[in-house]
Amino acid sequence: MSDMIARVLKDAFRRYYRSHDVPPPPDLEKREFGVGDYGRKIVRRHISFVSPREFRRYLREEAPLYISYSVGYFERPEATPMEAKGLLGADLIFEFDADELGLFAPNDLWVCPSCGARGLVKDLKGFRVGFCPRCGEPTKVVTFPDAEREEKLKEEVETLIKDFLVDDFGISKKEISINFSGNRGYHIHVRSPALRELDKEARIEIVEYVTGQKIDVRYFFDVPRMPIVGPRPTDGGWKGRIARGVISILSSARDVSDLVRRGVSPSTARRIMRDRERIVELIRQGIWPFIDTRKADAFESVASLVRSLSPFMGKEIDTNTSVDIHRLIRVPDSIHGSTGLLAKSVDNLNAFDPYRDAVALPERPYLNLHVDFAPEFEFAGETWGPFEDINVELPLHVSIFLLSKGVASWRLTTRG
Amino acid sequence: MVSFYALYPFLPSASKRAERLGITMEGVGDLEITAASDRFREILSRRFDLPVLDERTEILHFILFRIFASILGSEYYYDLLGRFYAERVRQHDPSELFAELGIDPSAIPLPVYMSYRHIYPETLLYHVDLRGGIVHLDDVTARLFAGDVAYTLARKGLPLDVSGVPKHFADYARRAVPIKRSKPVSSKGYSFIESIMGASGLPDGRKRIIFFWLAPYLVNVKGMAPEDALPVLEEWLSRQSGGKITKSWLKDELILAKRKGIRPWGLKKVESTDPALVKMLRDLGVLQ
Repeated sequence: MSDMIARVLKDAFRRYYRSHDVPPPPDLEKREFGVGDYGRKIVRRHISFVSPREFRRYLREEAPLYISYSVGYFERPEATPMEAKGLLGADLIFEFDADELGLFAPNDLWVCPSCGARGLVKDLKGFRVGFCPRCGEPTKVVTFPDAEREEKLKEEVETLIKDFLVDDFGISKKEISINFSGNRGYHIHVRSPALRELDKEARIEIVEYVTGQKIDVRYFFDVPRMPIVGPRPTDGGWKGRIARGVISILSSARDVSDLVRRGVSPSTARRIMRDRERIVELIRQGIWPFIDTRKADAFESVASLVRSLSPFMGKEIDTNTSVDIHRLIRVPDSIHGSTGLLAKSVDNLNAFDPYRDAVALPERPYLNLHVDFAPEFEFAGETWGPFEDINVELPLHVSIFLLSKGVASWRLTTRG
Repeated sequence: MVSFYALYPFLPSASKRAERLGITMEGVGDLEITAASDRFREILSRRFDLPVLDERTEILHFILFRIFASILGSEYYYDLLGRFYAERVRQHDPSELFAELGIDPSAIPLPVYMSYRHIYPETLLYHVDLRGGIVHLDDVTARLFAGDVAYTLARKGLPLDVSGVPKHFADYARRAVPIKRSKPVSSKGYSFIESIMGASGLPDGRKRIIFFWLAPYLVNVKGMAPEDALPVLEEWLSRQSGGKITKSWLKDELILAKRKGIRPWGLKKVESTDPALVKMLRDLGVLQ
C-alpha cells in the first residue's frame, strides 16, 4: 500500500517540480543534501549540487518525497564521514512546533494507544490533554487546522524575532527568514555571518537564553549591598525583561493572594502589597527592598515570580534543531512528503495561512479512503468532515493530509 | 609588580615573548621540568592559588603544563588547566588583558563574547546585559569574563601533538598522576544526612532536601565532583515520589554548592527555617 501511495505522490511531486522553480538554499554548493521516501525522511544523504540548475534538475527528475539540506556549510559537502566534510560554519535555526508548545485546539483529536479510547479535546470536560480520561495512560494528540493556534504560533515567531533575535542579539531582519515547516510549525533561519561560526556549546547557550529556563535569579543581584541592588527595567536582555515583568506583576496584583499564587511567600507578599507603589518605584531604580538576604530563602520569592513569568517571556523551541550543526532541515519551498504541504518561505507572516497558501498537491487523483475519525476542518479553501468510520472519496491534497495524520487508510485509487 | 606575561602566558603573543627570552625545549633542564611537573601536580589536585613567579618561569611552565596535559590526554586535565589560569586571572584587574585582545568589556560584540565565554555561571548569556548584539559587563562580571578568556585560551589547541616529545617529559607527566586529592571535610555530625540518603518514598520536600543537605554534602563533605554526584542524586530521586526534577536544576545546585564551598545546613538551622520539613522527616522515621 505504501508503495502505491509513494508512486501517486511521486507523480504529483514531479508535476509540481516541473512547473515550479524551487529556489536553492543560499551557498548551495557548500550544503549537504539528504532525500527521503514515503515514511522515511532521510534514506540517502551526503548529496551535493554545484549549481542551481543541477539542483532543480534533480528535483524535476527524482522528485524526492523529502528533500533536506544541511544547516552547516562545508568545504566538501559530499564527503564522508562527517569529519571529512570540513565544517565552515552553520546557520542558526529555531524551530517552533505546535505540539511541543502544548497548543491544543478544541477540534484536535486525542487517541489512547492503551485502551483505544478517542475523542475531541473539547469533549475532555476538565481532564488534562495528554492523558486518557478513561484509563489515565498518556494519549496521542492529532492536531487539525485551527485559526487560533495558528495565530498563537505566529505570535511566538514574531516575539522571538523582535525581542530576542533583533533586540537582544542584534541580528538584522535581512538575515532572518521564516519558513513554514510543512507540517505543524515554523523554522526561523538566521543566516548571519557573525553567528555562523558559533560552536555547539555557544549554540546551547543561545538556546538556553531564548528559552529562559535555566536562569538563576541570584546572579542578578549584588548581594553584599543593602538594600539589595538588582536589575532595572532599562537593562538589556533578561535583566531588563525580569525587572519589567516583576514590575508588571506587582503593579497589576489585586491582593496578596495574587502574589502568593505566583509563589511569593505570604509574609513577603503582605510586605509588598502594604508598600507597593514605593517598592515598584525603587525597582525602577534597581533597588529591590523586599529581598532580605539574611533569610535562607531570600531569593525564593523573586525566583518564583520569574518562574511564573518565563513561560510567557521565554520561548519553547526545539532545542535539538538549534544546537545540532550537522542537522538536515527541509529545503524551503519543497514539498513535505508526509503532509503534501509546501515548506513555504513566508514573507508576510500575518497574512499566511498554511492550510491555504502551502497546499502544493492537486486535487487529482481522488483517493478512496477509510477515515476512522476526523473533525470538521478547513483545508485548501474548503470545509471537510466531520468523518467517523466512513469510506469516502477525497481529492489527493486532503487525502494525503489525512493519511499523514494517521486517521485514515487508503483503499484504492478511484478517479484519475 | 607582576609582569604582563607572567600573569597571561596563555596569550597568543606570549609565544613571541618566549622566543625573545630564549625559551626552547632543547634548553629546558631536568630541574625546570621537575619544578613544572610538581606545580602541575598541584593544579591537578585543584590548588589554584599558586603564587605568580617570574615571567620566564611562568611562560615555560605554561608550555610544559600543556605538554603534560596532552600526554595525559584527558578532557578532565585540560579543564583543570584552564580553570587554574581562569582563577588566577580573575583575581587581577583585567584591563591590560582586555586591551591586549582589543576587547572593551563595556561593549563586547556577541560573537566575540561567545567565543570566549565558558565557565562562570555569572557570565552566562542570560545573566549579563545584552542589547542589540552587544554584551555590556559591569566590574564584577568583567573580571569573571577575564577568567573565561584565560580558560578558553589556555585550553585552545589541546591536546598537542606530543609524538616528538622526549621520553623523560612523558615520565614527568605521568608522575603527576595519580594526583593527591584534597582531604575531604570531616563527615562527623552529618550522620543524619546519610539517613536521608537512604530514605525512600518521601512524599514532599525533595528540592529543599537537596538544597539544604544533599548537594553540599556530596560535593563538599564527601568531596565528589559535581558530575560524579549527579547520578547519586538522580538515583536518590528515583526512590522518591513526585514529579520530574530536571537534570539542569540538579547540576546547578551541585555546581553552586561546589563553587561556593557551601556546607550542609545543620539540623537545628533547618528546623528553625523550615520546621515542616524536619517534622515530616521525623514523622516518617527518617530522622530520630
